Amino acid sequence: MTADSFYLSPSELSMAGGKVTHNTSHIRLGTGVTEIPMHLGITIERDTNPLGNGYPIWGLDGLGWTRYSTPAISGTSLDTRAYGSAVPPSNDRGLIVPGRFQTWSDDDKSTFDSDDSLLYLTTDYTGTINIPEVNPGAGGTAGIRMWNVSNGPVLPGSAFAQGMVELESDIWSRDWMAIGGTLATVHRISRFFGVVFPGQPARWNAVCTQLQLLTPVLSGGELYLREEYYVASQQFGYTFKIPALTLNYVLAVGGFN
Amino acid sequence: MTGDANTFITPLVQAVYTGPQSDAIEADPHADISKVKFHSLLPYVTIREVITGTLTLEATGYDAVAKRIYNVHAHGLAFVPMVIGVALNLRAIDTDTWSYPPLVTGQVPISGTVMIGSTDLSGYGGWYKSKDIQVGANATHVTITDVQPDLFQPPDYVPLTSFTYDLDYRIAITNYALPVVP
Repeated sequence: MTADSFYLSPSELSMAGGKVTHNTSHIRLGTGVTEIPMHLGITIERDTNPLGNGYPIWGLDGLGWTRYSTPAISGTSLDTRAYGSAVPPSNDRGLIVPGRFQTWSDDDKSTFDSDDSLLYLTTDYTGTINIPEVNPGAGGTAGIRMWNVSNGPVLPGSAFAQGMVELESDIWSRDWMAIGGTLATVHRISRFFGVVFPGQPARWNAVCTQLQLLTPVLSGGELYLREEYYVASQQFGYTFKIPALTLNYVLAVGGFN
Repeated sequence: MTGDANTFITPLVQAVYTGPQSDAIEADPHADISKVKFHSLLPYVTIREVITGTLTLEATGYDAVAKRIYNVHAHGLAFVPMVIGVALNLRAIDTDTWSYPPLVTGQVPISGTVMIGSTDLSGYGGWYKSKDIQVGANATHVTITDVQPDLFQPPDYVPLTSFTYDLDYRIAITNYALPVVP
């Protein structure tokens, strides 16, 4: 099919030669020489023609088909289920057969194929979690906290979670970050000058003192954000702690077919 | 038809699925998601744009909390989009070990934090320098955030000088609009 032989858009209907008329050489609905079944999913009502009942004209509102009438369009959807016997169209633009839907671009490149493995989403979860501060005091601490996101079972077919989190804390200022794997919301390694091992001279040391990791996990059929944190003791002038974090999340749960 | 494959198309719903014709599946893909090959009522993620480029991550310029946000691309959207990133030349070790295997360069997704390693020893106690990298978005731009984990001593925890790195990236900008949270 060439690009200019037939063109239909919400504002235009054109055919070869640029003519769109009610002549029988062009598209007619139900009354032409060649009856063309056009399933529009709507009912086209007959126009109350101002020129009289002897000259009925059928048209489509907004398509610019006729200067005489602009009939109303309403009605019930048609069932256009494909039940078989369809064959690939010669122009390779689209194929609908039972159990398969394919499309191609003009250069015959496949643009969609329902037989491909498709990534789909089952549910989108949005919300806010307020994670309280962890103050290690003089002893240091570590832990795991599970923050329930789905608050119930996820739908069957859910195999992954992917999304974004908006972080607001002493470290972050309302920044959306991609998450799916592990996101480090806090990771700070400070320097310490002093004696680490008795008997050795004082020297500079690197101390991993503050770390918070968030990971979306599916566990027991529910979606959680798993938080792991590690924070060293508050000694030798250190004031490290896991700061309070407001976490706005959008996590899309989905699967593959 | 009661065959083993069906295509169902109406102006409101399009579905392709296996097994006998099912009004339930046509109305709701979750009626039996295992049979669905495509269903227009499922919220598929589509890609608005894929951008690629090279970003030079600087050794300095971190803010007071040791991060630096780079606007890498004006997305031009009226919403903040969900983005999915890939680092095309991440430099890291490929073995979980306390020893020091050679650094290798490879392609990894950025959906969370990835760490760019180096063989540069920072001063003050010796520690190989690294960068924590995240992909994100704001109201106007797709962003890449570089966090410097290495800090000087308290009370100020000043970020130490890091290293420069030319990060090759590919980021998919999706149609998924993130909510506006007041």
